[in-house]
Amino acid sequence: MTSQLGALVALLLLCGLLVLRVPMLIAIAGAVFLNFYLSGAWALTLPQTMMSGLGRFVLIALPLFVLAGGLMNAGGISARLFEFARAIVGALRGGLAHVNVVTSMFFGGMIGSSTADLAGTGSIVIPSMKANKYPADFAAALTASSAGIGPMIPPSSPMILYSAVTGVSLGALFLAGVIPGLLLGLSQMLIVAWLARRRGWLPYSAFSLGEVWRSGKRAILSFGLPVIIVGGLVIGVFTPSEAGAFAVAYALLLSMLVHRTLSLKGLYRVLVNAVQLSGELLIIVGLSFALGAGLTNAHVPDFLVRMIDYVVVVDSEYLRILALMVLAILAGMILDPLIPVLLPIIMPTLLAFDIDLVHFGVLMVIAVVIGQVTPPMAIALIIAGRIANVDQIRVLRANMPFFWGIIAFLLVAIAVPGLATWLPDMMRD
Amino acid sequence: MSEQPGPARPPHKTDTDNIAERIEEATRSMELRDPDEGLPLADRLVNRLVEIVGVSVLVAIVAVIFTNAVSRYALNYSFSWAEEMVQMAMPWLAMTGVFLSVRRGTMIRIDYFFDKIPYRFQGAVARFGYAVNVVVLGAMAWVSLDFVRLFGGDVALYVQIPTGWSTSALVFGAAGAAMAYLAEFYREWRDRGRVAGDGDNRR
Repeated sequence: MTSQLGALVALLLLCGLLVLRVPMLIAIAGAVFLNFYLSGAWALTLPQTMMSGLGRFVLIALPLFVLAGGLMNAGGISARLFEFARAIVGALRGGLAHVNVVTSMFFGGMIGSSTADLAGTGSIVIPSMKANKYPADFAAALTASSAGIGPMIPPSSPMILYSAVTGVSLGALFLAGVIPGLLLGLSQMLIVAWLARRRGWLPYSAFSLGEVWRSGKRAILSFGLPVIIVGGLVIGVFTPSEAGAFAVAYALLLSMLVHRTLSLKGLYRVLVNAVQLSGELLIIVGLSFALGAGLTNAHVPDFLVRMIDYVVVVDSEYLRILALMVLAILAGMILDPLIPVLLPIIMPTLLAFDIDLVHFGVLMVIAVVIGQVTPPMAIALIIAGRIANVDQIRVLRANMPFFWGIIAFLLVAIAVPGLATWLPDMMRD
Repeated sequence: MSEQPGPARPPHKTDTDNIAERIEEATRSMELRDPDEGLPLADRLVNRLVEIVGVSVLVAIVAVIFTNAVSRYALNYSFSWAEEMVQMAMPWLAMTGVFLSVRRGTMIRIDYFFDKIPYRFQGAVARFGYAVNVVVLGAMAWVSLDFVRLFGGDVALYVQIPTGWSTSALVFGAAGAAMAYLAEFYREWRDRGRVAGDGDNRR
């Protein structure tokens, strides 16, 4: 059997197993085994490539950032962040909805994953929005969409995975995500403001500088975490894994000694969660290197380059990026985590088209966020819908303004690479 | 979407429904809850043992990286073995995490299509899924064992221990996860009334 046919059969097996509810990790491993078998490759290439993938030093940062986020979460930062967000934007029309978005932006700077924000904060904010007579489907949709801001703002787990797969500087990626992350939050607030005006939603609390000062003082130490991580990486004081270790030390200090909200027993549970949450992702990254290697041997990336050249008739980098993003969004509707599975396959294509990998990294994270609110996976919508006790179709409909908002935002981010690259370029200069 | 939100809150009256405190309570309890609550003692013991291995590895990784960085800046001295040791520990961290995910039904998977299958076929599909899981993980353990046999004797450059100490994590992790699925399959088969995998709480 030719290697191309082997690759095709392996990809079909991967999709088939995923459809049959086989875990992602096992479906990828099964596809890799089949591909190796059909193409006559040595089976030991699997553990060899896995070990080489796991050995990527930037990947060590992943469990450390997950741990730091868990420590902050368990240490009780959420109330402080929520109070600060309320003090800043609670006085706007539709105040509670604005607070929801801003809290997600703050959370993004601490946790790096959207589901923690969604399951934790969402479980209280959604019922509270319902109690304040916001439509339940809107409350669920907004919470699902705003949780997507988290992966854009550093520290971000998808960006660590992207850096591990592509070799792009994690510091540059983190910086590149700052402006798009803030703009994405702002765009969601604009949509909320428009809906609030149309539907006559009222403010949640009155604005008071004293309250901003008081809540800001309570929250300020929490913001030290992203400052340590991004600052350390950008100035070049830390490697990504060192930034992770210092973030853990800071979060530990804050929750055990300053806030005194975390016991030793609690610390143990947070450590276990970090092991469990990051373990599967790490192995998926290792396996996806093996899958990528098999598909590259079968010239799948060459085929992808030819296909994009065929589809994009004019010589335009933006249209090529757009074509790749369409592919990423379609894949992201099914694959989660998207980046470690897709990137090893399209990486040679990115290099062939000389696409800026930092810019593309930010676009990929936007694709991840879109995947979380797009069926059939739509994990964010599913979780939020369950919390709100609303049918998913209703949540999907209510999410349309935010969905089209993020699509428009993606198009702008493709057309204006500076949104992502300006900050890292400036810091480099 | 015709309902209107209630009246504005009175000025300076903060959080009358204690949202902030309730959010803190929810996020903390989500982070701190024991996922094994209610499990039989033997299951709890197995999970606890693997947890201890994973947690020890993670703590060691944090400690080594932190100490190395502090030492580099404070004493202008860095440990040559630090990076290699952390890299060698990573497979153990990853595989203990995978094992715990399998045991607690939190492996990443897609439920959407499965839910569309007629109920009477779901059991058979789930059992097929278990078989695939066991076969693939078993194969992974097998080739990893071969890998360890062939290359596990190579000595790491700085740590000066055989790399098999690191790569054997793939063998133990994959074999352990395969056995965990086998045990789960047995339980499902024994309690054939309900659809397999109902206990899983994630996609």
